[in-house]
Amino acid sequence: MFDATNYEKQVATTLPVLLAQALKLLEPYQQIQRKAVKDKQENPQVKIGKKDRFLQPFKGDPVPPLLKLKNLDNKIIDLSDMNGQVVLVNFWASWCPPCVHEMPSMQRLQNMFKNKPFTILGVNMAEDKETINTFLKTKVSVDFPVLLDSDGTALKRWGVFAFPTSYVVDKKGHIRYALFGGLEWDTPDIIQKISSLLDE
Amino acid sequence: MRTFLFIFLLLVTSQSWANLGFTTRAGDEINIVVHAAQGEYLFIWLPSEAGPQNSEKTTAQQLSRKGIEVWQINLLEDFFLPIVASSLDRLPDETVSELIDFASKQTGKNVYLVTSGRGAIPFLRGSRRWQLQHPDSPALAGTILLSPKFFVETPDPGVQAQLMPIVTTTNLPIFIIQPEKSPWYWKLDKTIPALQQGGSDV
Repeated sequence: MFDATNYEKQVATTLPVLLAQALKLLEPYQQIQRKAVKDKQENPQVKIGKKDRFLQPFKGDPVPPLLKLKNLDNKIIDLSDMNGQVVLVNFWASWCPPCVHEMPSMQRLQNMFKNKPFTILGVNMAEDKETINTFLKTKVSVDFPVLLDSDGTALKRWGVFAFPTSYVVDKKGHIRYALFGGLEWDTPDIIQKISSLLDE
Repeated sequence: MRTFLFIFLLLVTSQSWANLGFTTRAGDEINIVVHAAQGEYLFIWLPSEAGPQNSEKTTAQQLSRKGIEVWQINLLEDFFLPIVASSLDRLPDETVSELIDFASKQTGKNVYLVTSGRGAIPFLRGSRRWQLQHPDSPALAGTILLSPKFFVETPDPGVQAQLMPIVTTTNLPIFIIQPEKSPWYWKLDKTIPALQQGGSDV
């Protein structure tokens, strides 16, 4: 792959061995007599091309799932303690290129609202502290809290489907906007949306 | 049987692969890159929505050295479809079914379907079609899916993601190779039970 990391390239060299092992593990199941399952469902028509992705009003239950995780300093951060603040909850990982790409703009957004009740919580997906700290020191520097979702529990609770995924929670603690995908966070449209929530 | 076969290039001495082709009953010409091997196993390999990768060819060559024959196909090119996920959804089930049949009869080997990403959908649909047409044949031994994409599309936030219907109506031995550093890793607790619903061993 054109964007494969060195680690990915190295792991790819083991693929033939993995595939050969997979074949051996599947072999006994070949003996099982199988019949095609009846299918009355119609195949959904998927629109050709990529969907437009933008920060849009949230269509699900506005009450946020539990988000109570340790940050990099082992301090527990609980979203429910943040009523009165507008909170951008961002699910990310250092191996996810669009996540990495959008992080500097999130920091700029944080700086822009530094004197307002606005916070970003960067929920990291199951990476270890050392990996995250190295990433923050060498790749992208941010000063908003990074939370550790070590076993993906928060990701599942929040229905995260793609990386990155972001939710904007208003001062009353309700999810108001969300986005599956990356974004430049310091564009006029986003600033206006956050400002409106801060003014409520 | 109206299907007719044509072999338009055999082994080139300096290469470990050959081109093979066949024409489907619908008249579509399918090109196959064959990495021949002496063993009793055959992988039919379909690229993902990212299109064919050099690394897949390297892997195919290594597999053939291990005694696993690999047939690389590029159905998107054969059907003049753009290299995007939705093109894979549009591939005819019948073509995949005919390919399985052709591969089995041509080689006598146990056929495994191998693909990644969205390639899973045409392979599962084609497998089901093949099972309907060959209810007593053991030729299709299973499928190996790398980081498969089973959901219809990325939903809007807050909206439940839908699985493609073929996922719950598949009855195959399936091996999934899923890297942990992927959003799909976190969906396995949904996708594996859905596959098992149709009788698949996963």
